[in-house]
Amino acid sequence: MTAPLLEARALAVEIAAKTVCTDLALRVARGERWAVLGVNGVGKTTLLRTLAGLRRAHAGEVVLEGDPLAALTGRERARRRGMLLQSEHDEFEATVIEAVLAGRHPHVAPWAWESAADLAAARAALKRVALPGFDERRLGSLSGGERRRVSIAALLAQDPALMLLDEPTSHLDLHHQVAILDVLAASATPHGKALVMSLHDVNLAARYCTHALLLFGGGQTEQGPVPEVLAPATLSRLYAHPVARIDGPLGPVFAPG
Amino acid sequence: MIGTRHAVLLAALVLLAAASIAIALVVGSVAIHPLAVLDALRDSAGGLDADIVRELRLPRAVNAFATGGLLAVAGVLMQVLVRNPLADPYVLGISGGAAVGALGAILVGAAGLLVPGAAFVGAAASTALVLALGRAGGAWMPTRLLLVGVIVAAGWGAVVTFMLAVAPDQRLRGMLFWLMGDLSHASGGGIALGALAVGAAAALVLARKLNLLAHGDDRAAILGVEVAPTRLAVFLLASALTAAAVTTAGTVGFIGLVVPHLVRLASGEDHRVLVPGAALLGGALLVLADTLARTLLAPQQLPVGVVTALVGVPLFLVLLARRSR
Repeated sequence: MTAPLLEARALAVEIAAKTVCTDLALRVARGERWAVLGVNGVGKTTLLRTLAGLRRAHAGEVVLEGDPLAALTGRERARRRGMLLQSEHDEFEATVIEAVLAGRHPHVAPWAWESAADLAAARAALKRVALPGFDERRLGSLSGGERRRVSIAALLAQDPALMLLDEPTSHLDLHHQVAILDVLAASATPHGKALVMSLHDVNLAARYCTHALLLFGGGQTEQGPVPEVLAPATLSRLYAHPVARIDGPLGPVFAPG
Repeated sequence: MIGTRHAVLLAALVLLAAASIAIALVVGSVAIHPLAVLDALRDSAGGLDADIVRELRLPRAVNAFATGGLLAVAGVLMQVLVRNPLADPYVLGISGGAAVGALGAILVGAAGLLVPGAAFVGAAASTALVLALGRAGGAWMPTRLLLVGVIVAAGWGAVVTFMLAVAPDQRLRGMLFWLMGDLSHASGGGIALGALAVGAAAALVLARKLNLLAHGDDRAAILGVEVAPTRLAVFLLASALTAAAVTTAGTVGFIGLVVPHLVRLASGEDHRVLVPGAALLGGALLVLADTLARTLLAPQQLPVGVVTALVGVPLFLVLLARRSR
């Protein structure tokens, strides 16, 4: 059996005397789409940042296709995993195409300039997030949702096998939430990519994800396939608020009580 | 490959740099005919005019060019380091730290490489201070950063004034040099020019990483930059460039702010173009500013720092007002 795309071995994550998880074992295969769910401040972002290698784990290790993340060079990591940050702060007036082309950095040889193929990849990514013709726009002139889609385009241009997404739908209207998740989910084919995304909306998780990882706080976690894990009783406990399941025409819908 | 637009920009800046040096050699309290300047440079002419060109104007123009280039590239690096396009070695007090270092070394009788070495220590200490205090809770706060920089700069200014007040006169080469920046005492020029060449080349090596760091440390790390060692390299390089500039011409202000801003207007955010562009434009503008400083009230000479401040301060305020909108 080949190594899973992402594996967390006995992972312990702590932040500011708060325990996010202890002894977490996680195996994410290509084609899987994982939702990370939990209340505000439970540590979803911290966990994703640890999985991406942006912060050190308290204990345990993160392994990408059998290689410990810590042993990989920055460049090699960047070719295998990418991450959509929760928010971006633009201090410099970069253009949209510059921001998306930055995603090609790990694929461009150290002393080379971006090739025509890199530019084509960046333009294709912009098209996939429905921002064609935005190349020369300044980041500062974009709306929150447009800026968000530029970040997603940069991640698509980076083209890593593992995509870690921190709130991919934030700032997006209903239509673009669905459109973006359609694009991302379509890339997670059995031999393609895997997604791990933190989400606020349980219903988007139910619709787009194959698996879910629930963070209850205090290091307690639960995980499994979505049909098993996303149950009213579990969700009520997760959010400390009653959650009811309504079976609608598009599948189950979870509503707060 | 480098785009046509960028190649044209850099070629135009090379021409501007050459033109600025030519103007500096021709213009002055004694106007010298361009042909006489050429003769003097070819070493075929004797006489007073040739001496003025070879012994006075050429070294001064070379020093001005090198200082301007050093400060502009240091400005580009500082701006990435603190993620703030209003950063500049002078505004943030880095130049002041370098001046205190160099002046302190001279006061205790040091000479040779110890003086720029002490300037480097002063610049690095100043940068570290601004980096440590300029952010709160892990996030950069532009206003806080500038506030810390201005206060640090004021502190160094007081230390410089104190040292000048207690120093024996013969040890110092003119007071304004250290507070305002002045090229009339600079000699040689080869060393400063060499420092610019090495420093700009090193910054160019880092250029693609600078592009990513400008978007934030997390963003850079996701795209494969080893953030901590890269930031350390940028920090050391910016401090060294500032120290080299300050030991050549004292604390000339605002070049590091104005020049990267102007180049960005034409080049965009790509540091592979921004770094050489800033070196060329910074050099050219300081040569022109210095020529203006020594001809405006000729035969009296103004410190070049007066000219750069008179241009830089209003521009800084305009940029600040535009950002806060």
